[in-house]
Amino acid sequence: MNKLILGRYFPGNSLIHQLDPRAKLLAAIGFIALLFVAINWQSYLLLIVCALIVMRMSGIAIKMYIRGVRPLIWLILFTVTLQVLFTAGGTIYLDCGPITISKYGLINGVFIFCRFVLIIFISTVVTLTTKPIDLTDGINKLLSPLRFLKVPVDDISLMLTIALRFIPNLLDETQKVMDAQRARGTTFGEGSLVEQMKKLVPIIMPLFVSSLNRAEDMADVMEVRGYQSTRPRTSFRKLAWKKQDTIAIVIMIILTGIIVVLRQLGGYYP
Amino acid sequence: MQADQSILEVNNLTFRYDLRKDDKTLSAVSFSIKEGEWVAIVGDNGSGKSTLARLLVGLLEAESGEVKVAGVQLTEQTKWTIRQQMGLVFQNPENQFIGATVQDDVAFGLENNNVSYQEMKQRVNEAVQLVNMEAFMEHDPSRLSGGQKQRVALAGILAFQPKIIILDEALVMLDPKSRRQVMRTLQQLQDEQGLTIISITHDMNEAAVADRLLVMDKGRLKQDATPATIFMENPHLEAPFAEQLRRKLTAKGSGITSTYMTEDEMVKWLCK
Repeated sequence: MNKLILGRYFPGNSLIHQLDPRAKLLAAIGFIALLFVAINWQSYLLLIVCALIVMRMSGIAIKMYIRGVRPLIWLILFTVTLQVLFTAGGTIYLDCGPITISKYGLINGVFIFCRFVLIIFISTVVTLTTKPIDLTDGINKLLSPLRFLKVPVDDISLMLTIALRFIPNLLDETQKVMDAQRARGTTFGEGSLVEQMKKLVPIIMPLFVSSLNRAEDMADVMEVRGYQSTRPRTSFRKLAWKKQDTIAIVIMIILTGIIVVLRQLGGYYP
Repeated sequence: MQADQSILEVNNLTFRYDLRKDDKTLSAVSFSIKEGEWVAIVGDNGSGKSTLARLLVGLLEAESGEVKVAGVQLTEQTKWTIRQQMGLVFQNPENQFIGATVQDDVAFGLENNNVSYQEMKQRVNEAVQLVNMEAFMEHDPSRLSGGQKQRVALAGILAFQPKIIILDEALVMLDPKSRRQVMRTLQQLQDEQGLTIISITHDMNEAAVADRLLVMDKGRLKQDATPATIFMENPHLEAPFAEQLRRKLTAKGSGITSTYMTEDEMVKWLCK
């Protein structure tokens, strides 16, 4: 469980940490969109440099970000391989029937690789430097225009908050149930795949039951404390948009401008 | 008339979980509680104490009988307004923690009632101070002990400023020192603001603080009297510490009075 970097928060006091979650979310979404606007190596180079600067500024070791890529590396390599093998055009280096390795294929592969890695890096920057609760607040605020379309934005963000709040509890509980089963003589991580899966049943069932009980208790508590989804609520958490947030957004806009101009330089293939 | 001053009135409350079966969890329970009173409800496991608490706030619907809070009968329509005057602190602190941090959790009830931000901030601070948790405002629940979580749950209700607080074994996880502290805070609120407290408990020392004791047995209200009367008349009931000491001293023939003593009285007698 500890290997999962995505979705974890690293306390810190860097400039990136201090940014408003809304600014961070917007900038990250903008950056990811830019990755699909960029079509030549100049723009990718610029984006890579920007990403590295932001990662550096977050004050978190680059190693952590690389660890974030690791669980997805096979998916990335698979996609890249497909691109390399099945894109035709330009100089052909290898030709085996339907499979060709061409210049365009290789370039495409490199670009796709950069895209994937940068998407992971940037979203990891956001999750590593923002408290989950601030993130849900940010999402709530950003989604709030949807209220006019009768989307239950507040309910969704409360659900998110409670879900996040219970992740450590569920992990603890899983550990407890596993210990209890171990005390009864189960050994985990041994036997055939089918056997191992069978051993998971006595873990999942108690977890499921206790989660249901928990949910029921919690619903009672929320009701007693006056929670009604139909009633307007005030919010105890306030987000403060500061100058640095505006600056971050302005930088994003400038970056977008540059990428769009670079796009005029020419297409994918030099 | 007594009915005028009683803030909570329960008449003939009957309830069973399974309508197909005959065994009632509560049968014809009636009592009334005056404003500013501290009432403890004691009884064995399964005597219907927690069910009673749930019925009082309208989490369960009674089969027959009525609950009146400040003269208003509890119904499906009135339960939301009644819950603004009545707070219930549950036993399990883990599942009571809704906010992501201590202050968010304390504010949850206030948010639900559309309290303005400024007032919310102030009330949260006050409530957290009342339970001595001000050093933990920003902490998330996974970093708190069971007792600390219980104190936060209590603060969540106190911030609400209800007229009645129901504690459903809400102090069991506190260590003796902080339990005493919390009890003192509650007593203070009772004295100063006329807070009505209903504490459901197994701990006889906690029960002994009450002005009145309700003894539940198999879904019936067995006795309704002052702690002194109840501990004198029920020698089989595990007595609070002072009373146990008195009984032992009596057995040794130390010349102590043969009537129930509160802790303060015992201290005074011992110092004589």
